[in-house]
Amino acid sequence: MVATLTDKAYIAGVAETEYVRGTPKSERQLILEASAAACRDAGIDPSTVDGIVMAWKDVPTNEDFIAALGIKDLRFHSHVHIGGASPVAAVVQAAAAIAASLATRVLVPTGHNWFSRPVRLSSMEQTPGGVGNVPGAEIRNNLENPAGLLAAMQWYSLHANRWFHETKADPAGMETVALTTRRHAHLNSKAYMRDRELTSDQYRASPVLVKPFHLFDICLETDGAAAVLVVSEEEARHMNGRAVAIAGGAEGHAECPDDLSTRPNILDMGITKAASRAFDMAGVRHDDIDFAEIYDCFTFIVLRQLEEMGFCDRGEASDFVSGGRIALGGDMPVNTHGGLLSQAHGIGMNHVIEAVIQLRGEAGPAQVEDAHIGLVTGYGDFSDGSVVILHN
Amino acid sequence: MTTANLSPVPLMPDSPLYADYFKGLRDGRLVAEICTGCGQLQWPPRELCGHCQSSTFEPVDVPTEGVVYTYSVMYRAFHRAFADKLPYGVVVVEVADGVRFIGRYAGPDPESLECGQRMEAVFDDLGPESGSVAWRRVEDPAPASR
Repeated sequence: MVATLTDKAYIAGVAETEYVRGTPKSERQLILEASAAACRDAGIDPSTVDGIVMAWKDVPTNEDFIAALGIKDLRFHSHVHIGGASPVAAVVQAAAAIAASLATRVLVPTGHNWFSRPVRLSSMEQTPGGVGNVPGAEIRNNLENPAGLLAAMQWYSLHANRWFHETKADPAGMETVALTTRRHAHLNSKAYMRDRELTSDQYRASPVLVKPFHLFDICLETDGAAAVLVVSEEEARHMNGRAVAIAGGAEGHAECPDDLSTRPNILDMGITKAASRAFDMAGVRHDDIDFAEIYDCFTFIVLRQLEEMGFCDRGEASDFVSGGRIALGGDMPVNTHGGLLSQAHGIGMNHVIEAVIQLRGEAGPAQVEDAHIGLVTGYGDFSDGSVVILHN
Repeated sequence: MTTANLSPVPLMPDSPLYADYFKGLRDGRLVAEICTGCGQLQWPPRELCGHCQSSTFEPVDVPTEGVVYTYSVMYRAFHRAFADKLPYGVVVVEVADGVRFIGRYAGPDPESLECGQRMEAVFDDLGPESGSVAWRRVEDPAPASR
């Protein structure tokens, strides 16, 4: 059986709130505002939305959406809970719901007040189980927390340090990702770091918080929300002509997905399984990808995803990203908006939105020339992965 | 078992699924679970055996020496209990084929931790019967008070 979603669903509207550090608004309000704005961007009345796939968050509930958007007949809703892999997986799920005729106008929202949450992930105030929403709470509480392992950047370090040991990978690739992404942010008026330069000297002089991560290997903590509207092919035909087609997509889960320490091979990730499924469904090859928006909670995880997707071999991503290949103007620009590292922590929905903007040709100074096929990834929890391939 | 407030070990919970493990630590042993249905070793402990879906397990001793599979070195504390320990190490030690235990690194010079280093378990470094596991490099000189 060849299951395919190719060109069955389109992203017709995108919106994001301002990305800020500090907001009086609740996450619920921000997510609802972004959702309404995504409908306006598509040129539809929000009350005609008939499906919602909520990425990562439990709130807003479907009742909240119905009340706020005046939805008349919600026919389908679900929640996707795989951390930062949720937005891309939720877009694929929305496409599947549309392909199955369960709905025709499906909102995919998310948002998080990373900066204004009670305990920031970078702070000394973590509480056992306090990260919230991560799987394997008992493993965290019984084995990791008493050892002094409490925060996301510590988990990622376990993966990174093994990767360096096994493959002798060149750490220079981490700096390349940090600096390239920052330069892209300078072209994005919505990027939190649009005006702040990052030089190689500054990168290298920044403190190591957890080996091997310098400060600038770690993503921003910002407040904000984002949403996209996924519609059927027929709906897209009647819209404003800016809709972007979903060529293929997939999610994947690593073995032992709630624990890095006991995973048979810590280098195996969800995207290791998901990428080939997405490429096969879309009917494209790596060479066909014009640009990629890659989930970048850490610089090194960009390198690892490039490897696991097959753009290069394990341990070779530092070579792959060198020589300007992932910069605007290069063979395959990556994170043309600035990413989580330098735009904002939009949980990767900002990556989906940037891909749509690129394929609409609306990226202004950051526009990729002749952009026709874009790839977006998500990474969440303990290596859950998701990929979607879009085209215009 | 000691409560989180009384234990010298920071953040130590009291979880039924991990009762055998914590009892073993207080006795100076490293204990995993073995499925009585299929004999598969299970670590970390879970309600069901992932191989045969049985839900009965017995504790089984595993070696207290192994090699570092991966590790981390912290220069920032994420909880007050670790603020005065910087820099500190955390090691994931493989004690048998594919069986790995995470724990505090209690030896000297955490900044020189590397994958592949041989480790041995230290059980009472936070006081007698403190019920925690830490690790020291086999090659390092033994600490004066053990």
